[in-house]
Amino acid sequence: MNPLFEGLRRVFRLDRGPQGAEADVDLELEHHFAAAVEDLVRRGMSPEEARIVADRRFGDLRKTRQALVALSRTQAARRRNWEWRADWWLDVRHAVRNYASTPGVTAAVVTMLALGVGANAAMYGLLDKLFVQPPPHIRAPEGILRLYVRERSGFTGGEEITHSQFDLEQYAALARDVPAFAALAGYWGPSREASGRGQQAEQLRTQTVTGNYFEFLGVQSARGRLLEPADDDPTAAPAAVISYGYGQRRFGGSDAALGRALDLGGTTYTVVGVAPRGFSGATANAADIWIPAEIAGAAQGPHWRQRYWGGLPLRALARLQQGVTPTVAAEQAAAVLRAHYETALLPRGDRPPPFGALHVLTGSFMDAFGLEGISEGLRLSLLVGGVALILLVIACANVANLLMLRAATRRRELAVRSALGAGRWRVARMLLIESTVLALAAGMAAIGVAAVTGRVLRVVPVPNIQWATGVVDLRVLLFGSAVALALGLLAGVVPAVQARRGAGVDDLRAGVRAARRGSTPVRAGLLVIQGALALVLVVGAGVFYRSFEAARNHDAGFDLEQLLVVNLSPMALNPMDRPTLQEERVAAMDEQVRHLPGVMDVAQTSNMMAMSWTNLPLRVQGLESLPRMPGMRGPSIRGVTPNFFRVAGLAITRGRGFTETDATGAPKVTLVNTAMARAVWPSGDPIGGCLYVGAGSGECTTVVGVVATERASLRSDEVVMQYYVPLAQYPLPGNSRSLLVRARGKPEELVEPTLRAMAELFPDLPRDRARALSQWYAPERRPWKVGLGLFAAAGGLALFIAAVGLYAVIAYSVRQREHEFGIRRALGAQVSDITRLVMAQSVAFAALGAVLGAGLAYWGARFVTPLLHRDVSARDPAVLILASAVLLAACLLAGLFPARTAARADPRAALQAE
Amino acid sequence: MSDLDLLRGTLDLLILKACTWGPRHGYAVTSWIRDTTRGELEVEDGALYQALYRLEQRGWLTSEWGLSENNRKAKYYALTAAGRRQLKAQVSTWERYARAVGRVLREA
Repeated sequence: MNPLFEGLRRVFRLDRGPQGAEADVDLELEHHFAAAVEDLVRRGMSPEEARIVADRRFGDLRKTRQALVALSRTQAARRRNWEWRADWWLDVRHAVRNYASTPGVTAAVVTMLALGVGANAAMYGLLDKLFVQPPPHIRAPEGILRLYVRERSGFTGGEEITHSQFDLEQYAALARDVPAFAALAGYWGPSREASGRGQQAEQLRTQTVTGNYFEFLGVQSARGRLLEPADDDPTAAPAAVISYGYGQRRFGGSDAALGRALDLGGTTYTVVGVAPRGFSGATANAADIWIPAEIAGAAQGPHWRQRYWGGLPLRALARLQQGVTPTVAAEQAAAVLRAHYETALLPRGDRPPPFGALHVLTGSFMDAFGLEGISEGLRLSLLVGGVALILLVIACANVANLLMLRAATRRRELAVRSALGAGRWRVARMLLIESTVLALAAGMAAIGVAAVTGRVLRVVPVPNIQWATGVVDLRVLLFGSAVALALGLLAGVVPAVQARRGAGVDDLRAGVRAARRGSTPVRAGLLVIQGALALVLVVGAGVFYRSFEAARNHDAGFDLEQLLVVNLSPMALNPMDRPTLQEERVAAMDEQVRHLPGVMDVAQTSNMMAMSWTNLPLRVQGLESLPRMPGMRGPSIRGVTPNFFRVAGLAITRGRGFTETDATGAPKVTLVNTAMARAVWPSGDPIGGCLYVGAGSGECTTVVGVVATERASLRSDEVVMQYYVPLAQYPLPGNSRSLLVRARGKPEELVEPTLRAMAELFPDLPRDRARALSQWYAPERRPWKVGLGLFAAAGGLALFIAAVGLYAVIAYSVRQREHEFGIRRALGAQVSDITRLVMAQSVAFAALGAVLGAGLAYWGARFVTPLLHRDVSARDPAVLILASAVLLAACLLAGLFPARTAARADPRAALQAE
Repeated sequence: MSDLDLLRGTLDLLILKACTWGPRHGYAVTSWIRDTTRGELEVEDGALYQALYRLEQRGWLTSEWGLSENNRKAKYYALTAAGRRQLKAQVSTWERYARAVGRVLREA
């Protein structure tokens, strides 16, 4: 028999099968008789005699042989079964022991896989909900289309825009006159509405909907009934449907919620039903309450239907008739809207005529794919997803690297196993079990990471979306653990196969010069990729940091960080319906706030700083019409107290500011901002210029000064032409007023004392009326803040992982070359020479990584550019250089310890080994 | 206890005892038993082999192929831990039994 096969068989303890059992018994008996005869001959018998005696002593050979073969077979079967189980257990225990013996590497591998996979699983959950999964509880969501309008509107100065806002008249025309629509439903929001009065008011996420909204979506109520078309009747009792979550929160259950009254915008609604759990309406963004648009609109005053931009709009959802294509439906809808313009809007003259044609477009039901382009929050989510993916790649690369090193150090063990007869499959099974053990550990850890990350992702990239259900559900967890398992197996098996290849006699022989192999190309490549990706992330952190800084240093025109805004305008859904201010209360409020500790000064303004604008018909002496400039709005008017410019920190660049003498009845004066000065008087001097404010005004308002331009937005280049008049000379009724408070320290600390004063003087106003001005800009800054945090965390982690990987590889190669270093030392190499030799490896990796990473960062710049501050380039060379320096530093640090080990190599030991 | 049971129990005991001094192949076991009992136990070698196989199946013995003194392939049997325990128990049972029978015979 082939000795190799015999060896394998022995190690596997393979039985020989049916024939094998017989052969085994025969072989044993053969030996018995041979030994017996030999023995008897030695004791003096002749060979013939000996044979006869042995036969007699044995008994019935044929029967015995049969019995032995039968026994041998059952024994073999039983052993096979038992051994199979025992081997499994052995392998599992072996794997656990093996990992426990290298706790550092094991912990690193499990942590990296868990972080990479967990973060990605949660991200997958978020993107899935945003882009893939339609909101729950909706019947046949694939049959629903969103309607958009593309037009050149008179409101936007003829610029072509695409939007999805329809007023109720347009909606009614579409619902009535488009034959292609099987059904049409409309909704708006959710937007925050105050329920109740004053500072105790509760903010409800309110969605205004058409009466057929729930029927259109095909939702079944959890309790009571949902809204019906009959609820649109203005004479009916106002009805509302609340979300399951709100019912639990507010009333402690769905049953208790039915019949309750809720006050919204001055109308009292009765809760008639509760939506099913997890239902968020037609968007992923969950609402607390649904009310009929007809009722909510009627509360806004008489002509609310026609107010296109300012009134109550709707977004439109359509289901098509059988066999009608979206294109046909869109054409019909466009024709209906055009006819509506011609017959209703233009004759009434309540909106500027549209420029050019109007088109209707249809889009996917999934909100995120709107034609309006991907919003910032969604873009951020995608970016987070990309970063998570990069981290996963780095983690996997590093895990593979660490396991390869581990496998390399085990070549001897594997070689010994092979030599002892362990077959390829036996070894493969062992390695597979090892990988599975590792993958299971990583999978469990990944589930934990996914749960935590999911909680963070719920609020960080898209905070304005309230989720009806968690981001991470069972599906996500299963997906995550499956990926972890697969990656764990892959990461374990690939290096194992690599190590198996050629693990042979050489490895057994290896004494002193175990492995001359330094780092293999695969290993080196993985390191370079890690370095490159880490560089990309660090560059990302850099450009977002610069955006953040740019916004801070940005000339907002005023002292953004020191101001508190207190909006005292009376409550009303529509600014035009506001009652007039009670001036004595405003004065009292001004006085109280002025004397709060930490307040430097208080000014009053008719419009909230940088947040609200009022445009009045305006004529400039000597000009036929006002110049229209791209990216410039206005001119807008603002009435202010004389100290306003000092409080806001707006510099008066020419002329004078206002004084107390610019009072009611005094000659009318105004200050224009630099943007307006440049636009209206491009060459001349604005001072002394004459403005006629208001329709048909013949009274000259004299320009007495020029003031710096306040920025409306940190993100856009848009500038507002603005002119200021003394509050005493403000031509509009005083129904809108804000206090601008300059704080000594942080304006946030003034919020609570201000609210206390407000509770007394303006009991109707809600809590959100007093806010630090910087908070208004927080949404604009958020992408930078999130981006910075995200990239800084991911970049730091990636650098750390890459450095650990590099350290492991260099430390390994140093250990392999210890002998060589010893010889070098013996031959006279200095400590510095050897250190340099090792460090050169680090530098080479850093350089390669930086070059590759720079290319990647340059390519990837397109994805972050829309999120950055406009003055910051995603391809900023300074950031790139700095990031490369950081990478180099990390690599050098990683090489430092192995280099010191190398330099300490003992020359004597090396010589003795020779 | 029938004759056969008695014989089997005794055989098992003898075989286990034969293996206490290290692994032996089948012939070594049979010849050791024949020599130490001076042939007074009339047991056929075939029965001994069957007993060997049975003991292996019970997990008291374990077998392995090896080379014999004169360089021939032979199957070697060795005591397992369970076999060693079994031997100890059987020896004490046997001794008690033999003492009891002896006492009865002396009394009569």
